[in-house]
Order: sequence, then C-alpha cells, then structure tokens
Amino acid sequence: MRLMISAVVFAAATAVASPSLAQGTGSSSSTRPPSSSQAKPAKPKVPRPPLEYRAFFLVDASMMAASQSFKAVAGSSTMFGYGAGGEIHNLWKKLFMRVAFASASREGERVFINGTDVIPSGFPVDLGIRTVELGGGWRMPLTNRPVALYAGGGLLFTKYTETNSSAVALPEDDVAMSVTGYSVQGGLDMKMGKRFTVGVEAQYRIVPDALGGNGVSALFAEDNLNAFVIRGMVGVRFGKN
Amino acid sequence: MAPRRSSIRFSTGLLAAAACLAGGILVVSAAPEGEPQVKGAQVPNVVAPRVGAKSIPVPVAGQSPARMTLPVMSAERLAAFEEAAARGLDYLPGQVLVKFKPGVNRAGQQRALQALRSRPDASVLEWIGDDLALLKDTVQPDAGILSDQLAAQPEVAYAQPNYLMEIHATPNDPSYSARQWNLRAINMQRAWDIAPGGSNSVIVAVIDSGVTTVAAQNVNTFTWNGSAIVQFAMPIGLSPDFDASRFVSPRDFTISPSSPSTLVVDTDSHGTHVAGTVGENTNNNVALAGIAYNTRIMPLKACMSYWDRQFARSAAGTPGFTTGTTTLCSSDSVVAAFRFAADNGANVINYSAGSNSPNTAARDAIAYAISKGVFIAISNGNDATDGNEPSYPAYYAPDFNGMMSVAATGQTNQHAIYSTTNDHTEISAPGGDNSVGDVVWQASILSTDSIIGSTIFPRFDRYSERGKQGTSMASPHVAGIAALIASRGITNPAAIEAILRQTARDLGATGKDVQFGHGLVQPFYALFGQGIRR
Repeated sequence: MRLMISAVVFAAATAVASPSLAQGTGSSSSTRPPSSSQAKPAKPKVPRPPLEYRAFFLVDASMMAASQSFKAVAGSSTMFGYGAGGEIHNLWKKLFMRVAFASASREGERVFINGTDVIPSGFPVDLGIRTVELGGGWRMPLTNRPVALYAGGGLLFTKYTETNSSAVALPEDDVAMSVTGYSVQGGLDMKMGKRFTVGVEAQYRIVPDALGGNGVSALFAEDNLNAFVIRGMVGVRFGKN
Repeated sequence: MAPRRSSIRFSTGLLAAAACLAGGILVVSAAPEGEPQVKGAQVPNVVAPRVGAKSIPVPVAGQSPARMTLPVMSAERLAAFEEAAARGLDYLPGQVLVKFKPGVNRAGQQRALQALRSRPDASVLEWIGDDLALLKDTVQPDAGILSDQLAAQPEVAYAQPNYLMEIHATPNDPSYSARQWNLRAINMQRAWDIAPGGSNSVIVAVIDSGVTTVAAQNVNTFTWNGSAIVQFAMPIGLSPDFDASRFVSPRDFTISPSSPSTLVVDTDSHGTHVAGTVGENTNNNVALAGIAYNTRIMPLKACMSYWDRQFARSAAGTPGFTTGTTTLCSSDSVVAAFRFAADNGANVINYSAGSNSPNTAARDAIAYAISKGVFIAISNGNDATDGNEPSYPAYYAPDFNGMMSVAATGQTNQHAIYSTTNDHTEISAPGGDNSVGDVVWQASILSTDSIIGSTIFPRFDRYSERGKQGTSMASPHVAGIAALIASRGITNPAAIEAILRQTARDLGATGKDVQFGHGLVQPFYALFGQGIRR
C-alpha cells in the first residue's frame, strides 16, 4: 500500500514538471490597471528555469531515537553510513525531487540487561540499516550567492538487519526486516565552481514499529527506528544552469 | 491454631491418594521393563552403631570408609514428626521458629519467653544462624498458640510454627518413548554448544531428600519387620550417573538442623531425581543427561522420607511402623540448609518443596542466601487441581530479584494440569504432565527396592531410570540453566533472574501470566544474549 502511495506521489510530482503546466512568476511592470479600451498588454514571458540534475555522494550520522537499545548493543546510539543519490531540480518553479540510498552499519555484541547494567554475552552481532529515500522539496536560492536553502520530506523504505557471525548462531537468530517510514529534512548547498556542490542537511526520520517485541528494544520500550540525521553531501551538477 | 491437615502436595492428588489407599505405597514407579538396573560401587562391610554413637568417623563424599554410621534423628525429633503425621498437622507440634529484633540481648530474649506458659529458659533455644532460634515447648503442643504469644512480645520480630513442607513431585511409570523430551523442548542441545555442562567452579545446592554421596554395602540399620525390631545390613550407593567427585559439602539437616551430619543418603529418590536434572553425568553412555553436568552438586538433605523416620523409630527401640508415608521437609532443616549453602560457596540453590502456610523464616533464609550471591530456583506448587492455593516459600519469589518460582509444562509446552496458577509464577520449564503421558526421566533409586508397605529391608544402592512429574521436576531445569549462566561468569542472582525472564519464550496470555509466568525458559538465548530486535 505504501509503495502504491509513493508511486502515486512520484507520478504526481513528475506530472507537475510537465512544461504545459509551467506558470510564470513575474509581475507586471505597470501599476495602473489597464483601460478597458486598451489592448491587454502581453504578459512578459518569464523563462522557465532549466531542469538541473545532480548526483551526489552522502555521509550520514544517524542519532537513533532508540538510544538505550543501540547504546547497549552497539556501544553508541549513533550510526554512521554512506550512500549516493540523485536529484532533479526545477521540476516546477523551485520544486526538486530526490532518490537516494544510504547504508549504515555498526558492529555490536549481544547483551543481557539487568536494570541499568549491560552485561555482554561475548557473541558479536552486526547491525545494519539500509534506506531508500524517495522525496522532494522546495529550494530557496539566496540572491547573488551560490547558496540555496531547501526543505522537504519523503518516503523511506528501510531494511533493518541483525547478523550473527558466531559459530553457534543459526540463520533464525538473524533479523532482516523491511519497514516503511517518512522523513522531513532541511539543508543548504553551495555551488563549488561550475559543476560541483557541497551541502549539509538535517533530517528527521520516522520509522515506526520497527523494533520492540523482542530483544533489548522490548525491555527499553523502544519500538521505532526514528533518527535525527546529519548528512553531508558532495555532488556533481548536470544541465544548463 | 486448629490442627490442619496438610494437603496432598503431589502433582496429581488423585494418583497419590490412590497409591496410599492401595497399601500405603508412595513410590509407584519402577524401572522400565527390560531396563537393566545398575548397581552401585562395592565397598567393604561397615558397622553402623545405634543412635547416639558419636565416635564413629563420618566419611566424606566419595570415600569408602572403614566404619560409618547411618545417621538417624533423635527419638524426640522423630516423635514430633510422627505426632504431626498422626494428627494431620502441617507443623511440628510444640515447635516454633522465633526471630528476635536486632539488639535484643539474652535478658530481652528471656523476658519474651516468659510470655509462654512453660516459661522456658533462653538457654534452650537452638540457634539456626545468628538471629533465628528454634524453641521446643513441652507444655503447649499447639505451635500456633506459641507463635502468637511470642509474636506479641516487643522483643520478637516474628515467630512461626516449624512448618512442614512437602516435595512437589509424583512418581510415575510412563512409556519409554517419552524420555528426555524435556531437554529437547527447551532446545538444550544448542545451549550446550555454548556452555557444555558448565564449569566445575560452579556449585548447585540441591535442598531436598538428599543425594547419596558414598557407597557402603552393609550399613547396620534397624527396622521393624512386622513383629520385632531387627538389625540388618543395608546397602547404600551412589548413582552410577554421578561421580563422587561431583559432590561437595554434603549435609543432612534432618538429623539436626544445628548440627548436621556429613553423611547424606537419599532414601526417597526425589533428591537424586532432582539433582539428576540439574546435572547428572552426560555423554558417558550411562542412563540419561543432566543440564549442568560439569558443575558440582552440594546435596543438602532437609526432607525426611518414610524410611528415615522408620529407621529412627526402630533405632530408638520403638516397636511398630512409623506414622505417615509422606516425605516432609521441616522449616528448621530447610532454613539451616539455605543458610549453609549460602555460607559455603553455592552459586545456585534448587528447592523443590513447599506448603500452603506462610513461612517467614524460610523467606528470611532466602533473603540471606540471595544477599550472599546465590540464585534460587523453587518449585511453584502442584495444587492447580487441589484448591490452587499458593505455595510457600515460592510465593515470595516476586519479592526477590534472584529467586524464580518455576511452573511446569508438558511435552507440547502446555500448562501442566497440576501446576499451581498464581501471581507468584515467574517462569516455566518442563515438569511433565502425566494426564497426557508426559513425565521427566532421570536416574534415581530403584523403586522396587524400597516399596513402603511391602518392603521390610530396603536398599538404596541400585538405580534405574525413573519418570516423575511435578513442579519439583521443572525447577531443577531452571537451576541447571542458572548454573550454566553462572559458568559464563554471570553470578549476580538478580542478573540471572533478569536474563532468564527476558529470554523466556512467552506462552499463554501475552506477557506475564499466572500459568507460565514470563514463559518457557530458553537456555540457548539465556546464554547467547539479545540483540536489539531479537
């Protein structure tokens, strides 16, 4: 169902990017209302900004909301990841869309919890979070500066894994589950020369019902993979702009 | 306090009652047909003098003594047990356990004792540990009255009758095919991949009817042959599925709580069966498997069988058969055993007995043991079909991080029909459910060698595989798994409880419930630990 919704959103966004739906944004230079006897002056045509394409690499630092669970098993509630993505800018006015993939992982150790004490079991477990983002937003270029602010949101398709590498473990002890969430984000990017860009972004991910039920997340009553993410990006621009 | 008939505490009251009606037979299971019985080790004949002989050296576990005595309780102590059985009391008449408030000196104790009609001197108090005393009043047999009078004194923290507790098992004789389903049900094989049998640095105290720790072919013993007191040479022996080196610090507290014997002989089979589940020898081509088969067992006898009482009666020169066939665990012996285990290096205690009477002295002993770093597994009670009253001291389990009350399940992980359902239920383990043909098998004393009512000269040196059911059988599963956890270096009793609770497989209603507690114990995950999601 969520896949269908995301497909619809993507299709709608693509539709608004159609030139037939493009609208001018310039205002008339005259302040007087036109006389009924005068011919209506032609509205000055504002050139539609050309589409711009970007490809970028990203580095994420995700501060997990399930902090107690991640601290217990991985020793930290921050997951570091990397990935790549692409954006199309100026789909309609300053609308942009993004597709990105990010992978975060961390080595941990299975544990026991006794109150506030974390007791390691001696058996390693690797945590993984792989996310496909499908989203977009609105860009706000700063006048006469190579910097643009932007804000947006999107859908997240997340795969969460726990992989046990010890000899006593069986495949049934591993976790591999897919969950859907959404995100809101804001950031800024800066053009570096003609082709390159760098950017930084703050993102809040909401991924409900991914945890809990079993494991230490159940003990801590932490049932989601929500995270506050700081992202750095280095990109390459394509297009005429 | 009105005399109160102890409820039948065996897991299926009807079975036990039927067994009693059919000639007073308590132990009804036998070696399966075609099952070879295994004879214990042979040692030179020894002579056991009558009660009171103190000069005879007492053997330590595993040694073959030149001379030894089969310890029996005093005639006075036996009389109390027999009177309790005859009157249907759940306490020893005229006996109370009293704890004085901190700082109360001898004069204060004496003042409190003056509240009793007999006005006993404080010197008659028999101390169990530092702060609990056993008082035997020869004037007032109603221990309820005695304890009420003492409890009303400002110097007294509490006083209670010396309650009798009963073991939570029923002997059975089911089909061979059911054997050791219990270990498969909790996936024990995977747990052994992590901790194969545990470590011999871990000690599990089994407070029960004892586990025989020495072999002797001819122990002179006295019994009643139906017309006269006779002396006979009784063989005793170790289970062939326990090496003598597995035992540490055996004690018999049924003889005297304050001065226990170091010679322990199981004349019931319950203690040996329970210890077998905790950790009888494994991978040795003998009998069956135990859970923590590399740990050491501390056999602490606190439960007295029919035969213990019969031997004491005859040794005291009293003609006839003793009263009552039930194996009983008096509170003074149990309390002393808990304290001994805590003071002598036990990491885990299993106690598979209880009664329906609140037992503050036992609660205090439990608190003491946990404070010394001992994890306790205790049987939940077998009264679901017999009034479903809570069992003490299992009832206190939720008050402690470090003690778990264990309910019983059957082969399909169903709630065993007899297993008490109460808020004090904390975890479940296989205990058998003979209503659907499930029992737990372990090596224990050959039942046909000591049938009450038909055997005149019992022997306790031959063993067979025996099937029993009860929360008595469930509890040692948890004790054995706790010993494996301790073998991995986690010895804090609160941590062990937390691990067992958190890794249990939820059964029945979601979350903790009165039938299964937190669920079925899962030894593999109790050793493997938890990830974030699983």
